[in-house]
Amino acid sequence: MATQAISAAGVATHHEGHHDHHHKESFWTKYIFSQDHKMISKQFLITGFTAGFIGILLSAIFRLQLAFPDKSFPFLETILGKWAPEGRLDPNFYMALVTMHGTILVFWLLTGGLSGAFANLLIPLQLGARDMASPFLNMLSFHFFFWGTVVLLASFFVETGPAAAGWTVYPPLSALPQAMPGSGLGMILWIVALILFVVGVLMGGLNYITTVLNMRTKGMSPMRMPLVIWALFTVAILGLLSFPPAVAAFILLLFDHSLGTSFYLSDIYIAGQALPQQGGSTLLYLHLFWFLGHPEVYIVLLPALGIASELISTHARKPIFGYKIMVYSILGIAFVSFIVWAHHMFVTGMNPLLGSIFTATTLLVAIPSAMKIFNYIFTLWKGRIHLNTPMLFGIGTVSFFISGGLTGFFLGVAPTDIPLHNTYFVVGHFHLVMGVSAVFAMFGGTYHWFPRLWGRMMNERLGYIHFWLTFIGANLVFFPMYYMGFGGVPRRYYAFTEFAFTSKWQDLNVFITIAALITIAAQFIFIYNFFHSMFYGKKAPRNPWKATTLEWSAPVEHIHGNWAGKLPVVHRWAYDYSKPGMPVDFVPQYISDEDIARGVRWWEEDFDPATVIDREEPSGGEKESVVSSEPAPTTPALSLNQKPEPPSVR
Amino acid sequence: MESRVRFHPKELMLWLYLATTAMLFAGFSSAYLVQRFSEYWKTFSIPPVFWFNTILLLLSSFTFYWGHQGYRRSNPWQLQVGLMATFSLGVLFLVGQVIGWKMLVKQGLFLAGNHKAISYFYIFTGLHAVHLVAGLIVMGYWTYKALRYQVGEEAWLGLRMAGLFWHALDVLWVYLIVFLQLNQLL
Repeated sequence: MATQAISAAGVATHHEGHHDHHHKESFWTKYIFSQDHKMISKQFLITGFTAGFIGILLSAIFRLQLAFPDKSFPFLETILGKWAPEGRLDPNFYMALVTMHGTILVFWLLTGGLSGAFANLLIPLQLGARDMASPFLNMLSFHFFFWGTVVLLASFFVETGPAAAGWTVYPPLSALPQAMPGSGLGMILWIVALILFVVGVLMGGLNYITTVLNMRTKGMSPMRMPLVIWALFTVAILGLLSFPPAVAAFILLLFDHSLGTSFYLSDIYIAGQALPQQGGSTLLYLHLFWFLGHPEVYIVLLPALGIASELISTHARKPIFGYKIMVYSILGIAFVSFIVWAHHMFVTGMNPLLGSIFTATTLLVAIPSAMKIFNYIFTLWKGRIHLNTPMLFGIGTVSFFISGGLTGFFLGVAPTDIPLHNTYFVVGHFHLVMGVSAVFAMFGGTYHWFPRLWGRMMNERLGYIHFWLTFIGANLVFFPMYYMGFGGVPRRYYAFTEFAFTSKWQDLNVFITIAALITIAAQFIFIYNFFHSMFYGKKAPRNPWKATTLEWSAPVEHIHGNWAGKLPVVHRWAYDYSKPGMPVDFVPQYISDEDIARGVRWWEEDFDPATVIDREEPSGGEKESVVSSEPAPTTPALSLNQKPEPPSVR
Repeated sequence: MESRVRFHPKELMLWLYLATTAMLFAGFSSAYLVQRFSEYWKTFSIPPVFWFNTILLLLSSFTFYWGHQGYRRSNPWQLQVGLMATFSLGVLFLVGQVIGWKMLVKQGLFLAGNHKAISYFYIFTGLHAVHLVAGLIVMGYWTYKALRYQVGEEAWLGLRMAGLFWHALDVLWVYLIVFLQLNQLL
């Protein structure tokens, strides 16, 4: 009852409250310290992509080394200085490159960048909220992420180089500064960067969960939410539960590294000298790390698949097949992801019984994953498929999820994992299933929501070229790695010319490197397209893809508060595509049956959704869900909350 | 479909934050339990001052509750006294912790080295102290406001959240001290 009043007043005051957004915004408040979720989304997207491009450029350097270990590349010395004396890569720096490549891509691009960009953009807009539950915390979330990036990249400029113990930074290598140059200051910076990053991710996560639970617009019941929201919501919970134990692991690592404790260290000799640390256990680190590490895979993958759901359904003009199954699959994958982590540790000498338990739980993941794939394929089946760039990338995401995911069986089962452990088979597997697959979703999402972000379309032709080069290139890069893995080629080796069993793969390595360089070069097409379209792209109509979800009902120009007038009220689920008996093949969520009867023509170019949205009686007819409160900072309506008792929301 | 969320969004966020803190300490606790059974594990006796501090912190939760009652009854004096007592007890707790750490150092029990029980003890109590400093900043803010009669009706949420955070630190400490003590005894 009280809430009805609040939401009614909230809507009413927004008419006045949100027309005073003409207040002067300086460069700093608009671009740097913005509390608007759309700007924060752009910040995450651009920072994530920038970090990602740095990450893949690093891979270009170490791919050169792997293909041509005996050749000298003088330009490397120009760029890297002492790390490439006479144009030949320093082995320690090779390790640093591999480490930073993994760290940047797994955490910065695919966790922070992907979730940060799309959760910030989509959660408020698709749920019909004015902003996140706490815009201030949201701003802080980006700033922690950003400064984490700065600290991480700063480690390239320290005397001993960046962290070099692999992206998993296993002790004792990472815990002993004397073990390798990269375990010096670079390692401390790595840990500090990761802790900043986690704080940023968690702040974001608190916001995402709260916004999804509390700020959905009227009529937006959970089972009417787009799947991408389900995915982002679930992933925020996963992060909340799995990142803190990893922080515990990093804190203990930092203490071992710099303060003389021995949590992870025992019986170590360096250059014949016994170290005093006794009684620690590396396995402890592995357990704590992989307790994050495995859910992390789904923290990357679920939003990617969520985005793919939107892309595939929208551009196939069909409702997503098996919506409820999709929701339960997301929840199922999230749950199971917490009880599989030890499949990363089959070779650590664990009890075979425990190994078989983790094998069984790992194979369980295949069930919801397969259901999702089945549903994607059946969404495409007999759809009116528009093969535009977002759709291609959406299909690409699912394609890589299949081709990478199937090899997961080999690695999830202890008997086949043990010979394949730490070989290129693993590298091929995780690059395809979570790396390329998620990057494709991120590209697809960018092409799809670019008009929503910048009000302009990206260039389709460049998009096609980008897609095909990347799609073919990524397959050519990572498929051969499976063969190398079966041949027993270990990962993280500096040069394959040292051993007979690895040097016979040299030609294949040259092939992979050439494919990789072409694929990396193709990304410049995307960069050009991205920035060029931002300023000179074709002006986008309000709903360029004829999609049903709420983000396309807001004005193209960005308003703080998203909708100039009232918030949209939701009357149907997110996937009313090609509904029989309808005049066109999509019915937006804010269109009610009365609107259709009234003859509203929502498909026309000059249709303004506000004419429907603002007509809605805020507290009329529907006694459905009610927004518990408007975002606090801008809403004078909160004065109604000023009672000693909290607003009880029914 | 009705939305059944009973929290203010900010309060829900604080609960979620507390969940992350719980997971952080769960991570440390499980690490502790795993290493407890190694052959190098040694025990030590926790100085009684830490138990005395426990009483202080428990008391501070009660004083906050009492002060908050004053706020509900629009009794500024009760709020002021309650908050001041809470803040002072919090400071005393921190002083007590420092005294406890000094007693450990005097016994030659340092963070560094192979004595993991004590390394963990410092990490647990230290991290709790860091959180408590944050709690003290919040409590100090409200005490200052209360003393200047600036706690109006709009403060209900802030006070509730401050209280929730403070009680959570209390619960966390009781868990830690019981966990650490039991592991030294059993």
